[in-house]
Amino acid sequence: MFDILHYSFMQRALISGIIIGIVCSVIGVYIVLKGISFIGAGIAHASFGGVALGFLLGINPLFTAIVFCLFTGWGIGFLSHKNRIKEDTAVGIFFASTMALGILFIGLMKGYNVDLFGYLFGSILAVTEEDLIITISLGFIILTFDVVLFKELMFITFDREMAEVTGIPTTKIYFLLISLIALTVVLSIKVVGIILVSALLITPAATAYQLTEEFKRMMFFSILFGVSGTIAGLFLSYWLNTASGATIVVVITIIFFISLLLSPKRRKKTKKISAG
Amino acid sequence: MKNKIIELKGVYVYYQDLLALENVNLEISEGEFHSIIGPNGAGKTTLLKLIIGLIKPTKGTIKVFGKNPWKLGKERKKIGYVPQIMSVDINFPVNVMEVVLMGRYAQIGLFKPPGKIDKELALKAMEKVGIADLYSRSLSKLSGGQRQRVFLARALSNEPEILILDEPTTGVDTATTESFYELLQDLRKDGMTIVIVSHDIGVVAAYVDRIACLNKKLVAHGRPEEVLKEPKLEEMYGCEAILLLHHNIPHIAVKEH
Repeated sequence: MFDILHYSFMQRALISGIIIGIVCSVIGVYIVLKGISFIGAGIAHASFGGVALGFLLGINPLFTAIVFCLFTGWGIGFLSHKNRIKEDTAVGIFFASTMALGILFIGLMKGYNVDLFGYLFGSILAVTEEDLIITISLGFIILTFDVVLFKELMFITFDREMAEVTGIPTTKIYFLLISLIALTVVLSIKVVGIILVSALLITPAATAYQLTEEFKRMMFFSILFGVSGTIAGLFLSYWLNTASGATIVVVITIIFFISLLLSPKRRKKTKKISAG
Repeated sequence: MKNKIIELKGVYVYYQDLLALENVNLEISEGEFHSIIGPNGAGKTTLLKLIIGLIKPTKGTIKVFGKNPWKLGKERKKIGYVPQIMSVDINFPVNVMEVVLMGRYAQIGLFKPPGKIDKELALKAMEKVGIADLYSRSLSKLSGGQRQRVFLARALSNEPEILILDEPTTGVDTATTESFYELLQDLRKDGMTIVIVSHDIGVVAAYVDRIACLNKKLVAHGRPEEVLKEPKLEEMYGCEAILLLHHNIPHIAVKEH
C-alpha cells in the first residue's frame, strides 16, 4: 500500500507536505487570532505576479515570488499602518494589481506556459530537489523566528496597544509577522497553489481554535491537523487520481467541520454570558 | 509640596484637522488619586495616550517623571496601564497567568522566555488583586470583574509608580465596580499615583482626590465636591447634573432632557 513511497517524487512530495503543514499551521494561528486572513489571501495572490516574472526571466519562480510577496506584505503593512487607509482596502489594492502584473508578464512571454497552471492550483508531485531545498530553508527560517519571538508575536496578536505601551517594538514585530506570512505563502504555493493557499493557512488553525482555550495547545492541534490533513490528502489524491492541492484542501476542510460539530465550547453563548 | 509626576502645559492634539485636545494644563502629584471625566469624544482617551507615550502632542509640552513620555525608555515600566475592557478579544486562548506575564515581556527582552522572577512578580500582582487562585483559568471563562482584575494585575506586574486606567468598570455591575475602587484605594495607600478615566461620575467622586472635567478643554478641575457643583458641568453634558450628598459620599444624578 505504501510502495508508492519508493518513488523519489513521492518522497519529496511527502517531505515538503509535512514541512508546509507545520509552517502554515503555526503562522495560521496568528492569522486566525489576529483576524487578518485577508492579508494572507492578498499576499497569496501577489505571488502570481512573482511566479509569472520568474518564468519571464527564466529563473526559479519561487525566488521572484519571495520578493513579490515580501514587498506586497510590507506595502499592505505600510499603507495600513497608523490607519492611513484600512487594512482590507490596502489588501484589495495589492490583490488585484499584482495579479494584473502577472497577467502582463505572461503576455510578454512567447507562447503559453503550461507550468503556470501548477502554481495556480498546486503540483506537489512536481516538487523538484531545488524546490525542496527552498522549502526546507524557508521553513527553518520561519520556525526559528516563531520560536525566538514567540512571546512578542503572541502579545501583539492578543493586544497590540498594550504591547506598545509596555515597550515592545510592535511595529517591527508586526512587519516581521507579515514577512513570515509572505514567506509561508511562497513555501506553500507549490503544494496547494496560489488560489488554495489560504485554506492551509487558515483552516488548521481555525480547527484547533474550536477545540482548546490554550495558546500552545492551539498551536499543537493546528500542526496536528495541518500535517495529518496534508499527508492524508496527498495519499488520497494519489489513489483517487485527483488534484493533490484540491484534495488536501477538501480533507482539512472536512476535519474543520467535524471539529465544529465536536467542539466542546459554545463560543457564542459564553461570549454573551461573560459580556453581561 | 509633593513632586509633580505628570505635567501638561498648553497641550493641543489634532488628529489630522480634528481637534481632540485644546490648551490643556494639568499637573498630577505623586501619590494622588486623580480622575478624568467627560462626555464621549471629549478627548479622555487621547489624554491617557499622551501620558503613556502612545501619541505626541501637536503643540505644548508633556512631562512624565520629568521626561517626554515617548522617550521614557526603560522607565516605561514605571507606568502601568489598564486598557478599556472591550479592547481585547476575550475568546483569545490564553489563561490568567499568561496574560499577567505579558506585562513583563518588554522587561524580559526579546528572544528570552519568562523566568522564575517574572512568574513570582506575576503571582505577587495576582495576589494583590485577589485572583491568585484563578491563575490557570482561561480568559473566556472569567466574569467581567475578574477579567478587569487580570488586566490590573498585568499592569501591576512591573511594580509601577503610576497606574493609568481607561474606563475600567464599563459594563460591570455596581457591586463589582465598588469593590474594584476599594482595591484601587488600597493601592493608593501603598503610595501609587492613580489616574482613572471614568463614566461613573458618582462612584469616582467618592474615592478620588481630584477630578478633571474634560471636553476638549479642561472645563473644571479640583476636589470632587467643588467640581461637581460647577455650573459648567451642565453645559458639558448638555443635561442637568445634580450633586447629592449621601452619607457624606457625593453622588450625582443626571437628568435626561
